[in-house]
This record gives sequence, structure tokens and C-alpha cells, in this order.
Amino acid sequence: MTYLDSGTSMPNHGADSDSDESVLSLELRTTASTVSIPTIRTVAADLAARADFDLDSIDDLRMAVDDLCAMLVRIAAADATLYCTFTVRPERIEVAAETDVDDLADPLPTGSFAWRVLQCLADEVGATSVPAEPGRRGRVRITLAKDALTAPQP
Amino acid sequence: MTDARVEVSAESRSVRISLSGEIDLANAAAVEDEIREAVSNQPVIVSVDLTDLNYMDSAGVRILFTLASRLQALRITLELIVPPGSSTRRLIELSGFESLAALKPAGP
Repeated sequence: MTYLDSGTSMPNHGADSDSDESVLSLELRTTASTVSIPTIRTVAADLAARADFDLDSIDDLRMAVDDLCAMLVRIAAADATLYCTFTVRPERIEVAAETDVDDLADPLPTGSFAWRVLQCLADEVGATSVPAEPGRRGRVRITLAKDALTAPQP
Repeated sequence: MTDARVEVSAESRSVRISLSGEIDLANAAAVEDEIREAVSNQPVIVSVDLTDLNYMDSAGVRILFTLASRLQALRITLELIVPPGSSTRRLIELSGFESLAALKPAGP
């Protein structure tokens, strides 16, 4: 988890797989506040629509990104920044968001209702955290991936 | 800021709550308060109409779960009016809400 070294923000800058012209990368940096969430989810839906996602997948990604950001905003430290990166690949969008948290024993919100919803909406979900230490805030990072086509419901 | 409207029409035995606009973490608590106040008497049935709701995330679903468990304790029937194929409907179905309330495609 090298991205957590102090001073770094988001990972994978210039990684080989991302230098492909067919891959679009977009980063948003906002205050970790509920006020930012409508804008972030609208960006997510716009990227999905431009990438020719089907309508259900666009809706799913919008709600998933909303839930992801809402989880981080709930646990974010005061005045924290929310970093959100979108990687648009052919047929797939990956989202990674992270923010600083105050000292929490287990800040990963993976048992919450929102987390279960997130797992249903996205094709892949992951979370990692680094606990706070004296003089340094902790950090929580949540990632998801959504494919362009929603698998048909059984 | 996220905006939602909560419109309530109450009759002697029933309360109909129509939600419109958008519900997310920013306004979920306010919407929940308005819904709680709307069900202050003892109706037999509460219907929540989500037809005109443009957007809802899991904070909105939490509101519905909270309402459902409260009404269950009061022995009041809950029904949701949710258009088929809408993103709201998909979210509600994903969350397993159907076991708690009848989902209807359109109002009476």
C-alpha cells in the first residue's frame, strides 16, 4: 500500500496499463462533505454514459459511487479531503476513493448496510485502511469496478 | 445540496406519502423526520409513492427500512409504489425490501 506514504495522494500514476490511449483517467479532489456527493455521482454517470454502458449499469454505477463516497464522508476526519479517481477502460470503469480518518479502531465500514448495497451494485468492491498513529491520521480507501453490461437477473 | 419534497395526504384510515426530488446522505435525516411526523396518527395503511423520486441511494433505503420496522411494531400495513424498471426499484429489490412491504407498480 505504497499510496499511503506521506505526501502521496493517488496511486498508479503513469502505470503502463494506464498510458493506453483507450483508457481515460480522471481525478476529483473535493472536501469530504455530503455537498460534494451529487457532483461526484453525476460525473460517474456521465463517464458511464459516454462509455456506452447500458442504462442499468449507468444507474448502478451512479448509486455505487454515491454509496462509496457517502461511506467515506461519514467517517472522514474534520476538514479532510476526498480523493476520487475514475479509470475508464473499454467495457469497465474502476473507481478508487480515499480520505483521512481520525483514530478509529476499525474504520472499514464493510459490515454496514451501505456496504452490502455497494456489493450488489458493483462487480468488484474492496477496502483497505491504515490506522491512525500519534501525529498522523489514518486513511481509508474503497475501490469498486463496474462492467458495461449488467448481468441478467436470474 | 440535495432537494427532496415530502407530500402527505392523510385520510381517516390511510396515509399516502409522495416523495419527489432526490434523497441521499445530505438530506436523508430531514426526509426521515418529515416521514415520521406524517405517520403520527394510527392509520391502517401507509403507502409511500416513489414514482416522482428522481434519485435515491442507500440512505433512502435505510429510511424505508426504518419506517417499515416502526410500522410493523404498530401493526400498520406498508406499501411502496415504485415504477418497474426504475433505478429506485432496482435498488429496493437489491436490498431485500420486498419481504417487508408490498411493491406496487402504480397508485390506485
